[in-house]
Amino acid sequence: MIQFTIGLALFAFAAILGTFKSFENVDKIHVTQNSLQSSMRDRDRILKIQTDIQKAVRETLEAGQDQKNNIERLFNLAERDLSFSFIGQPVQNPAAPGIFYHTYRITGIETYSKISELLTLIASTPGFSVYKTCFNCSRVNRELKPGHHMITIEGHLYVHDPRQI
Amino acid sequence: MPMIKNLLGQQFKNICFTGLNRVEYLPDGSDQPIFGDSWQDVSDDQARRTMCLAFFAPRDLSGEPVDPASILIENYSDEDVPDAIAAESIKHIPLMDYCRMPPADSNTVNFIVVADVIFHWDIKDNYLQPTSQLTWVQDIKAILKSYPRSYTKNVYTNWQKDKLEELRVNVLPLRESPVFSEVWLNMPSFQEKHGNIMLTLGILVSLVAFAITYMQDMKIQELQDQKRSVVSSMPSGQNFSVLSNLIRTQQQNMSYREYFPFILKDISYAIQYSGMKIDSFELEVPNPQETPKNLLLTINANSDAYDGWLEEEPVAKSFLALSSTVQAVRRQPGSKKMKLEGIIPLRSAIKEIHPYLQEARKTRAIGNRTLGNTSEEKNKETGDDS
Repeated sequence: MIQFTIGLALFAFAAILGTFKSFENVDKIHVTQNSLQSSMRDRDRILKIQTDIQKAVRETLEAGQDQKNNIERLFNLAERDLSFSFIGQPVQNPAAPGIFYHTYRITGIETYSKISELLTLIASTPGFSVYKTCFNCSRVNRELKPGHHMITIEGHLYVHDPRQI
Repeated sequence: MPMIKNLLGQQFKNICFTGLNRVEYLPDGSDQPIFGDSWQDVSDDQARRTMCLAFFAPRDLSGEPVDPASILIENYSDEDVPDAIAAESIKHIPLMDYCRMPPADSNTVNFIVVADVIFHWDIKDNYLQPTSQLTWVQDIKAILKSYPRSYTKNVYTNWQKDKLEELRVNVLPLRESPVFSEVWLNMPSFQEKHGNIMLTLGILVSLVAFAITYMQDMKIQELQDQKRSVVSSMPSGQNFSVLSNLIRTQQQNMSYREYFPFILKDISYAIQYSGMKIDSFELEVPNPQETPKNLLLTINANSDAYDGWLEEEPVAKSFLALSSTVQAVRRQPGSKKMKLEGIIPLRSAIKEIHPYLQEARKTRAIGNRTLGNTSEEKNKETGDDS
């Protein structure tokens, strides 16, 4: 009689508690598996971002080189009767200050073929992109040589700061 | 209707009948009875584990059944403590009191002839009568005279069965006599019968439940360890989401920059070969803060170059036909002089330009190599190693 009672109590206790605990553990396993997969996805994403950062470092200008004089020398603008200027302040996200960009403008008088060469040079220089080119959009108060036009080039200059990236 | 549990021989291996001053013992696997003075004399401890004690305990004067111990234990008295201990010894042996036999079916009379006792029962009651191995057949014959011939007569005995042939009765061995729950005094309850099975089952279920939850806990622990390992291997210290967005924007804005000069050249050639007399033209991204999908072209013609749409339309059509990248143009409404606006879808323009860009890259690479070789030759000639 006592064996039956103890056995029944054990059976009921183990069955109820075991089932409850088992279902609870199944839920925990699912939650932990999902959390693990999420962490793995985050890790893969961050590793990919790191690869992208390396690529961005190669494709952008290093901070310190984004000076007007440097860029004028780089594109040989003084000889071409062109001037370079930054428009406004650099756009920088405080949450990620390692990468930011300037808006620049190149204006001056030059022939079409020289401007075409300059655009090709800009396109192959790290960090530079062009979003606007205009021929003869503004006037000058002097006589232009034949084949020369007043041109304006505007674009973004992307810069990375090695100390913060 | 009395509940038949089983046949006596199926329920028990060893059977001991206690009769009047004599016991008859049927050991396991034998139909030959052993006779003795008491059930303790004919059985040992081993046999008692699978033995039942059958006896005949007539009712006392008040009609109540008497204590089985008073029948089974010699010189038993309620006050005697050693007898009470002896009574405890029979507690675990199945006890069958045949005097509590339920009534038989109608038109049936059953006999049990064992241990110098003739016990019979019919639809009304049961009866006990002493006998001997010399007179038992005559005694049964005398009893049968009180029952009609149509009655079914069953005699359960292991004595000489051939003596009963003349009585025309069904002779059956004692082991085939029925066992009724009313007769079995200490029939174990369901709990007593299955107590050990239930205990074993309870322990097994507990062990299985423990094993399953233990394995699940181990699995959870393993997953948490893996997660900790993954988290610890993740780079930290940067706001990667913001950085990722910035890099994506930067790469998208710089993705078309190599194509920009080609698009400009294409437009220039189209203007030149269409004979359009222009004052200025502009190529721009509609919104520099967003990733461009199209470029916008604006061409302003000389103010006195064309007189009306009839002159402007052929030039515009020619321009559109000559350009590989401009998809559509329109004349800006409202202006006196010709002002064309064109749209250049970047995706199709890039697709158009890409082969030429590849070619240009190759040419540039060859040019660089040639220039390098030439400068090396010059250096050799001048002896300038620098």
